[in-house]
Amino acid sequence: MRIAFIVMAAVFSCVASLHAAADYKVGDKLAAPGAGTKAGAKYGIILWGSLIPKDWDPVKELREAAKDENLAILSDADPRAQALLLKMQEVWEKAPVDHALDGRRIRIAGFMVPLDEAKGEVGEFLLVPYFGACIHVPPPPANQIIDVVPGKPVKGFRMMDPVWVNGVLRTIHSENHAGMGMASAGYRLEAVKVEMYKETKTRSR
Amino acid sequence: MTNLARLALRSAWNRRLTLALIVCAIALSVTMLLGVERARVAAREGFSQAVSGSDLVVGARTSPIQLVLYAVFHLGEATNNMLWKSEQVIAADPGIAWVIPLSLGDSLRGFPTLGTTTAFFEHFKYGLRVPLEFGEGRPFSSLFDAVLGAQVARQLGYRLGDTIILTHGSGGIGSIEHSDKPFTIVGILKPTGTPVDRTVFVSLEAIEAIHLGWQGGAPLPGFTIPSQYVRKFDLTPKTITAMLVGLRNRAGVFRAQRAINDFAGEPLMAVLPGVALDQLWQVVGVVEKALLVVSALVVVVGIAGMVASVLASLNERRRELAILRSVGAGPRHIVALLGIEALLVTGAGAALGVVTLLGLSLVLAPMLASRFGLSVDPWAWSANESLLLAAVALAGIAAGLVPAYRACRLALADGLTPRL
Amino acid sequence: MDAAPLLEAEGVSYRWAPHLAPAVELERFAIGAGERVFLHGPSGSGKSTLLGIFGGVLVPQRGRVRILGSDITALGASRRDAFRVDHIGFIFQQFNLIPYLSVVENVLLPCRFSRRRRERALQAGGNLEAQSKRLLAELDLDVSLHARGVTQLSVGQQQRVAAARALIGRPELIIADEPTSSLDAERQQGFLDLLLAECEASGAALLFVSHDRRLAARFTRLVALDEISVAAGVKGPAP
Repeated sequence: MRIAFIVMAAVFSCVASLHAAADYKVGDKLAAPGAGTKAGAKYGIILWGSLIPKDWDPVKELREAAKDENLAILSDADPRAQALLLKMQEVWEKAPVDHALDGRRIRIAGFMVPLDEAKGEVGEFLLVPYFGACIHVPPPPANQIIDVVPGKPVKGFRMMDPVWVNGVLRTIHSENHAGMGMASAGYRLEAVKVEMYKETKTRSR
Repeated sequence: MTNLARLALRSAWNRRLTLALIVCAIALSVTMLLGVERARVAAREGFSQAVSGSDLVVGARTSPIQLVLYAVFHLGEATNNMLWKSEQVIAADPGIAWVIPLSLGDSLRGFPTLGTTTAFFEHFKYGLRVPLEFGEGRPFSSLFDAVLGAQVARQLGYRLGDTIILTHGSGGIGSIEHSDKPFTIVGILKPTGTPVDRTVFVSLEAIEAIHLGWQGGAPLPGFTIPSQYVRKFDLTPKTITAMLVGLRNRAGVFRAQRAINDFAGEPLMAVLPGVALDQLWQVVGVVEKALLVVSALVVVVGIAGMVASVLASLNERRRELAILRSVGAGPRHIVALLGIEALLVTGAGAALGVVTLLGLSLVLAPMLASRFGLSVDPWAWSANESLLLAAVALAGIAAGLVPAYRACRLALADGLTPRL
Repeated sequence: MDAAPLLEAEGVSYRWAPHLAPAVELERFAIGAGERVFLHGPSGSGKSTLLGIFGGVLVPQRGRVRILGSDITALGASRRDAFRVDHIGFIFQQFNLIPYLSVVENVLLPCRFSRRRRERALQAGGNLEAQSKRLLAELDLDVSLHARGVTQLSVGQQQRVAAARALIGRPELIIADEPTSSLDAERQQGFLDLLLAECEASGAALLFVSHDRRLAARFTRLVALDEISVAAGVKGPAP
């Protein structure tokens, strides 16, 4: 009977692991790709930082707002900390995009947030730079979220799966900031290839 | 090998009563194992394809999962309402592409009734951006027009032009009907495989109209207003249950979410339906894993029964093994003989289990469609199911090798003259 | 004795376990082709062990057994198994038949495992089933019995089916281990007559082991086990 138990345990753990999410923790970023990652000559690997216009400094605004506070002693529940958090989120949401990137062919890695799903296929998804974005922690700035539209629906991906995406980047102009301010600038990626990200080195936080 | 297979088959047939019980045990466990897997996949796929296409679900601040389940699937408890005023403000924002207001609370013979605008038929999408299509007729335009989902029409046998009476609440004993305000069916949607199929659609104004003169969930005596006069009243709703929101820039969904969460007019909550569902699956996932483990244990029990039965019979079969040795069967033949028996029993059990699963799927599929709006294809077979089946077969063979090995040892020790 | 004996055993010694006394200690024993040898010995004297050695099921720690010129003690296990079914037929004292197979299927068992037996059986023409029925008929088993399940046959009938199984395909050596001991007295002689006739007809040698000397009359040679095996006289612990 030992043999039976061992065999069954082995096979079932294989089946179960098919459903196990990657063991990323909230806030993990994907390792910066080094040599050895295959990038098609046409699609240049780009880092998330490159999506931020060089002249945008969100920290400056925050520093202005926080200059009277000693951040080290504020607890999370302190209303001043809450106000700062809110301010930070506002600043992030008005984050501009770099229009120079419009039309660039890029290859970028991130975590997937499916928007349209049916029968195991994903039609459109958001790409975010760190694990758990929007689920457990506040969402990233507007210029760190990409609306990815694959040419054909892709199979075999789930929420928060790490992926590589090849495609043409487009920038979306922001609408006027009337109303509740839900209009925002952003990036859109017309993807030609979406593939699972494979670990090659240790992850960085 | 065919000789051995034939021998194994005859040997198994000789003990068919005991083995039949074991085959049934294995079959049951296989049905359970595959059934849990099927239910899991069907629920995931069915639910996820129903919420595709809407970027946000907005409603009063309750639990996100509860809001999505009630607003989109019409399942679970009713949530608090939100103000119509809020809907107007949100709809006016330039970042919003469209909104679909939803008003729930009435039903038609057990099927939920949804008060909404024609924006529903225009903007609601499911699956991979699949729009709604009419099988017959058109959206509502007159006050007391109604549109039926495909399942409702088919199950209740309604055609275009038929008259229906809505019931207040979700139906059940003691429910009051809106019998003074009948509706006419002007459209029937094509099947979608989502909860749309089991929903009745009327306009928001119609919901207001049928509740004119009602207070606290019941009509005030003497205050009923006949249908022809209702148009004189202002039928703008004061509150709605929830709304579905589509954005111009889908990447800006988090910004829109925060803006709505911080809405000054009233405490509101904006939920990404996919994220809410994912949280639901996290919770449900624990139960699913538990069910999977239980099913696996039942498989183990079934196979253990098989092994016990064969081991118990080994003593009687020592003579038989000696005879086989005398006609040239070597240890590997003995192992093969018993291994094939185990394979036969496990295979028969697995086959019976699959057949039972198909039968159950065929029987339950209509029930799932009508009760939850989930469309399940009984004949669809997934790679995971093949994997599970292979695992069961492997486990059966591996377990079968235990008595095979023992039989081999016995036969070698006995030689040609076992001491019985 | 013929120049080349069918079976030749030399210097054979076998113990069941290293700490036990030898069950068989044999200097020389031979059977010629077509010989009818009655091997006499009481129970517990190592008969079964000896038959196991001759049948290639047990390998002696010392000594050699040659059958038809091949040294079976030097063969690998699966070669020995193949050799056994190719050239030897066995009849046991009781429970000779496989209960879930029919009479004919029991008879044809050796042909399933040995191509040689199969081919030799078909030499007389027809198909295997016909050959087995012919043999059964010669062993005085009525056709009507062929369809019966083996558990429905009497002991005597079962023994005759066993004999047919041993004989089909004309193996060169038949080893019978107390085949009449479970039959009643009247039947014993009858069975023996049939068996001897069939062995004569197919030219097989017969090694007949029994404790009952009264059956020895028709045999060409009577051998007492304790004559050939030193260990037979010693009552050691049973294996």
